Amino acid sequence: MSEREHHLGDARCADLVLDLAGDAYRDRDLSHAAQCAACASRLRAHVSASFHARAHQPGAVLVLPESRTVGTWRGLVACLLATAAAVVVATVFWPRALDRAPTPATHWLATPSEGTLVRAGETMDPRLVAGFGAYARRDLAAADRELGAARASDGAEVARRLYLAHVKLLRNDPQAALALLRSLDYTDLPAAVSRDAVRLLAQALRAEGEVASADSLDRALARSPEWAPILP
Amino acid sequence: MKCERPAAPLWACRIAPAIQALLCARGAERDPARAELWRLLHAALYASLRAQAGRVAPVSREDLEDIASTKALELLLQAEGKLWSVEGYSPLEVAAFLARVARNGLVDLARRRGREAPPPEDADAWERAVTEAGPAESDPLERASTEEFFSAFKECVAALTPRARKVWMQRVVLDRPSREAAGALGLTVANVDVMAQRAREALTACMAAKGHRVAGLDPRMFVLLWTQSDPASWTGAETGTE
Repeated sequence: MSEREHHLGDARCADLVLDLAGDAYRDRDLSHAAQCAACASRLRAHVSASFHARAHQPGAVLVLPESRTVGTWRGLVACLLATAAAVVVATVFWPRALDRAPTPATHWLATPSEGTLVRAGETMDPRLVAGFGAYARRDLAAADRELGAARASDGAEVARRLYLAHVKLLRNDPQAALALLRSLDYTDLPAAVSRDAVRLLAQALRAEGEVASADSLDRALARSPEWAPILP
Repeated sequence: MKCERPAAPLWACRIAPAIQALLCARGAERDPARAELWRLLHAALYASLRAQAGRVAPVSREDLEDIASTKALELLLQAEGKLWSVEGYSPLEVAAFLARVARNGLVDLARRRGREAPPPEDADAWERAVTEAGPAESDPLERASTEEFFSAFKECVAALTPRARKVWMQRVVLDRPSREAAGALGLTVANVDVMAQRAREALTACMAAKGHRVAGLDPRMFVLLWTQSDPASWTGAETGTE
């Protein structure tokens, strides 16, 4: 093999990254790359691109919920049933339900740690800190009050809306929760809470009678692996 | 389908079976089949894009990755909708088709930016320039000192916490954007930046204690790291400490 052939071209780098080359080819190519800066640089670009591919894998795109028009009639029936059920529930339990304690099975979002939501040198609004603290203590009334009044921007604002939405849901205000959850940019959520946010959206939609949409999201969650983000 | 090296890249031989597997998959089998075809198409398109990039227009690595993602998704959807098939085509023809798709993506980008560059007179000039860039292959003495350096380096990398190691791998070794690393690891962008900087400092200090100076990561070191560790450990959302 000539020296020119020995260098790793882009096609061969792709074979290596995809682990398609047999052991003999792989060992030869990698031992060459370990000594050839140009080939090593090229291989690194391909490995790096494979991480881009993983991050943008269409699990996020292709598990799009089904069209809302598909289940329109089912949605209407479910909506009527949900409305009737809501009337019964409201009649029987209101106002005791407003501040009821969350059930032990409530799934809580991981609380953001201090300093992770703002840029270096910036300070977080004390009301936001208090709101997250209240959420961590499961003090829903305080969390609602503080997160609702807090001022934030960028990632902190996204977090504020998400946690406030959960609080609103737990306080039986799905309409407010849904508005907050619909305002989120789901492409911008950290992976740690991305799917939780979609679960909350499904809960809020269901509570608001949009059962078909909620079902669709729940199916997308059930069908996709835990690491796959879902774009509602 | 015959796929002998060096006639066609191996990935070109895998695309037809991957499309077939996706079309035959039912229910929960579809996700892994889709993921496999996506992985193949993305890597193949990225290779085709890189091989042609300099001939069409000046582009960044991010441009190439974005075009690869866009075109891979288009082809994936077309394959899934039975609008694109490679049935009856040889691997070389499949590779040539993907090269055309890649070139079209580059031309579209150049047009959008309104600064299309004329191709060089010698079509192989860019490829040769890339191949021959950087220092030549190392001599045995350099290799010996590299191995000693690498041994120390591995120890220092191992001393990082798992979370810091993943951040360092993604931000420094692979040069992934902070936002993407943050998404993959379940961290905020600010957190990633701080952790990457601290990891750099910790590695520099650790290597200094072993008598080595670290001035950036030599790409050859990357190859050793990549071949001697499990790339799966470079990512993932489990960020606890060991």
